[in-house]
Amino acid sequence: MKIISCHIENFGKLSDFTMDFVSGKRNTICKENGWGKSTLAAFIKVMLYGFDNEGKRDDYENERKRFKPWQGGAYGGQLVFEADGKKYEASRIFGVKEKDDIFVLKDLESGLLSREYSERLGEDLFGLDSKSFSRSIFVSQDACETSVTDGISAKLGNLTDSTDDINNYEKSIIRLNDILNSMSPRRKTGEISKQKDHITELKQIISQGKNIEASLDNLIELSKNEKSCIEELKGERKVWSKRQQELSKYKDFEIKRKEYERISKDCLEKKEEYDRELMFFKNGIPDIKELNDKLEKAYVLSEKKSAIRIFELSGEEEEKLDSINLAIEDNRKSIERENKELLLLKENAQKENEKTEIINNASFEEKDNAKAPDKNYGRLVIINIIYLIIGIGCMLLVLNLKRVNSLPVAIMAIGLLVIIVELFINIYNYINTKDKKKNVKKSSNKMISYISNDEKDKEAFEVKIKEKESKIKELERFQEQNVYIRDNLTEKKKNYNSGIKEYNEIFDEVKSFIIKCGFEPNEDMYRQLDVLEEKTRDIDELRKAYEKISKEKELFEINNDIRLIENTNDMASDYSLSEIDSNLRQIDQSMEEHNKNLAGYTRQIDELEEKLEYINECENELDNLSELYENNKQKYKILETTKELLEEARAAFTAKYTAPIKTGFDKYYNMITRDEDNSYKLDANINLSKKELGLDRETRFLSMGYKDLIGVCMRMALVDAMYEKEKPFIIFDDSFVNLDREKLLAGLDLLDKIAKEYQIIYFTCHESRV
Amino acid sequence: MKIIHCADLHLDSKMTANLDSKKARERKIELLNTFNEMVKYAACNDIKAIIIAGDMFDKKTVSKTAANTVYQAFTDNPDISFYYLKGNHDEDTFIESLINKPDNLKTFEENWTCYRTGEKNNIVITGAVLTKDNKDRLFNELVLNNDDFNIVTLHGQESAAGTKDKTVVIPIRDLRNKGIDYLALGHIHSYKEAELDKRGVYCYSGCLEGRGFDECGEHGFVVIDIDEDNKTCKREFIPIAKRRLYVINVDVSGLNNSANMISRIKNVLDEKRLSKESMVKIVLSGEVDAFCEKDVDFIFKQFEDKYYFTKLYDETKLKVSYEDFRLDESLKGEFVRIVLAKTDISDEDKAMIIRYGINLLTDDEI
Repeated sequence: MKIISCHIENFGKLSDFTMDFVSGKRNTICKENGWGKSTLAAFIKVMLYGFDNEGKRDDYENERKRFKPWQGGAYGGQLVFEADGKKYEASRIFGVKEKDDIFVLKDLESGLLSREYSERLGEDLFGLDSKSFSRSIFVSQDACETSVTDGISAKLGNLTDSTDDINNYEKSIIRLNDILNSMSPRRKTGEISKQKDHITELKQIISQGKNIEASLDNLIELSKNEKSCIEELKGERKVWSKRQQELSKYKDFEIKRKEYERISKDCLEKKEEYDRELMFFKNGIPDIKELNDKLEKAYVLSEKKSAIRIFELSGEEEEKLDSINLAIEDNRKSIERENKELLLLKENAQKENEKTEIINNASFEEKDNAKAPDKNYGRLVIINIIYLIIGIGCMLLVLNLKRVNSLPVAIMAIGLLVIIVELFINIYNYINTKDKKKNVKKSSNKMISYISNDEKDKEAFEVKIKEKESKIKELERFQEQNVYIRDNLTEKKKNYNSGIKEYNEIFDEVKSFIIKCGFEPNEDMYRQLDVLEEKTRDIDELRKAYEKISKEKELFEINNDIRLIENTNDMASDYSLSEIDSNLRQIDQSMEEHNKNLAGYTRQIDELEEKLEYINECENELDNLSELYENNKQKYKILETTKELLEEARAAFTAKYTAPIKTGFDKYYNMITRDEDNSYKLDANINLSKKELGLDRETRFLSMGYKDLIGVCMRMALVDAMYEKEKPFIIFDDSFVNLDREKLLAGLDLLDKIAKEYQIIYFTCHESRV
Repeated sequence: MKIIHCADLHLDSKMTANLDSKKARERKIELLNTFNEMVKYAACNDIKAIIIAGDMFDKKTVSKTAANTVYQAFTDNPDISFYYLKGNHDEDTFIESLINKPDNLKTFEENWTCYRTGEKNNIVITGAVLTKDNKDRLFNELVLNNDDFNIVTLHGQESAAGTKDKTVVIPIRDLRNKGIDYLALGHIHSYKEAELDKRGVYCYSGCLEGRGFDECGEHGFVVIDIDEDNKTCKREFIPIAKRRLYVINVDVSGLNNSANMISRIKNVLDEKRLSKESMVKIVLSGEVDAFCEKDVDFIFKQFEDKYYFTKLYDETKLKVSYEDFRLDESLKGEFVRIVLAKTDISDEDKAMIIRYGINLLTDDEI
């Protein structure tokens, strides 16, 4: 691959700059400091690979910023090159960011846009990434040293097309190292180390488990003991409580026994007293009602005695009673006679009245008959109207019937006949009524003359009757006065007689009662009965009192076990109530103590349980963690082995190219130094070392001049090995600045020699190095 | 008469082996709920007795919640008798903590204890807590009336294999021809029934809930339906577990990327039709190319929320084709050849080294 020319629109300080390059001889660009040699070299690299360090903030490190055109304008340019015998023009216009960049590739033969190479032009052309490019064919100022990159290795192994092999080795190793570091059992921060620490910690916690379990067993045992003590104490308490109950029962029974004794005694006393009092009545206790009745009657006797005396008739009163009785009889007879006479008078007067009335009635009747209308008159009018209606109706019916036959004619005839009959009846009635009225008027006038004669006889009778009635009334008034007197005296006498009789009856009754009660009646029976009544009441009271106490005793016997009560001595305790109380208190205190201990143990058990729970969780965590730890350890071991074997593989892989590279190195080294120094060694990883004073020393310890020299030789050896067919251009940016004169000349001579095979672009700032 | 036989409830189990603390707490509650569900089943199905053949609790200290739940279940169901046999995980703590032992709670001691029950009073439940001290004499001391329907309950390993802790072996042979109709056992966490002798069977009911992926499959209890006249019984296993655990092996041999593997896993899981409430362990197996793209974390993420709990184990073997690199003139070829040539590295490690090395060079995840 060769660069034919380049044109810079604007890049760094270079603007509108064009340069052509030749092949077969060294292209030397010798310009003073500040001309822009490194900028031009960088332009070529950027045209192939784009900018490096785009992410850097530093304006120098960030190439896009570093080479931003000083004078402004379009940022970019063109590079004309030849590859595989064809010429292309690559144009790039750079924006602010990579995405703004424009890349155009033109096939110069056809003049058309080409897709032969992508915008990753350098990689496509050289099979190298930017880093490998800089380590091989781009020899920048002060950076001649080189080392084999993955890209170079891939190129060496023809694996540039494979992205996941040797070219990814370094990255893989870095990644593997990161993994190993993150897992490292030796680093504090390593996962395995941390897991190990945690396992130790968990084991430490778990190791306490046995002690905790032992403590727990101990506590459970203590707890059991406490429980059994409590149970024992409960048993004891039960015994003492029973004793207490029995003693209390005994005490209760004692009280009851005394109570029963009192009741029994009382009952007996009451019975004796009652029986004693009963002896008073030989014939039994009288009925209190009867007794009271008799007592009342006895009381009535004295009252009655004085009351009877009031009704007793004196001699004068006896005589008066006899005479009044006679007078009354006489008077009665007179009244009877007078009444008979009066009755006769009244009968005669009655006869006269009746006669007069008959005459009056006859005259009035005549008058009434004359005046009164005929009762049949109204009835006749109604009949007449009915006849008339029937007659007219029959005629109308006939007129309405259009057909003339025998039936309507008959009906019309009946109607006319009815009207005619009715007219005759009316005429007859009128004539008859007029004659009757004339006869009545005549007889009435005759009657009125008879009535005026009888009125005089009637007044005479009425005077006689009134006189008789007055006399009878006088006699009756007299009779009433006598009867009243007689009745009073008779009543008084009657009362007296009945009072005497009643008194005697009551007296006998009371007397008999007293005798019946077994006593001899004395003069004051009332007093005697009063005593009996009092006695009876006393006995009744005694009976009631006895009955009450008997009932009480009976109830007591029902409600209580008399056998037990009567034998309370059997229940007597050996301990007093205070002794029992004291024992119970002691037991309660002891139980409280044990309960307190039990609660404490239970709490401790709970706490230890929680700890055991935590330990159990730790055990589970330990199990999981141990498994994970072992897996990680195994993985770590395998990854370590993987790393070793990857390194070994890489060494084996690159070893195949070590010999040709070493040969190439020796060749170029000899060309510059003109010395066949065999002290340089190239290891499998293509690291160069120099044997000095018996030890292999890294080339970084050599002088700057030798480092540059070795670097150039190494790069050439690598380029030889990498590009066996089409040779690339090689850029040397003042690479011999640290060489001494002799080596400088040899170096320049080398450039001229290799310029026949490679296109060499050599930048220098001094004529002495041209 | 119907009787439930259950065992290995392991109430108060930590459940933290696979689960995070939140889910572990949930599962702990679910254990209690499942116990309650079993009791509810008994109450609704005319079950007269529940035999708990050991390991009702997981540890010596019992949480108040668990103790109260169990106590409440006992007292709420006075018509059901609970025959509780202590297991190797049980201590006396629960029984001792009871202020008033319910009348329907029947326990067993280190000597044979018999309880007679049934309408005809001819069902005898006999049990003993098996210890190292009594194991040599206990079986000789077992005397049963052949006229009864005899249920014997014990907690222990049926054979000598795999015993640890306080677990004692139950010599099944020594219990033959003793007149046992049903030997209700506890300790093994999966259901198993086998012939004891001509007369009876022995049965491990398994646990009520699987707790880890070593306890996959159905879990529940056994209902023994006894005909008291004929002295025969029917037995039915009733699954009751809230969740079921599964280990799903997915062979991803020949697949060379995560997407294909996800698809294969999905197909396998779809075929299984697992409930969303399941706990699933997916195990990738088979042989895959060492250079295949396989991101286990990415694969796991696709199934993480598919079930109540999911975990993914990668047990695939890496395969390296030497022929592909024999003549490969590249760093990779060089690397593979060097690795394969190492004699001090196992094949598995070689595959891993090659996978790591290649992934490093190709910028892939390692």
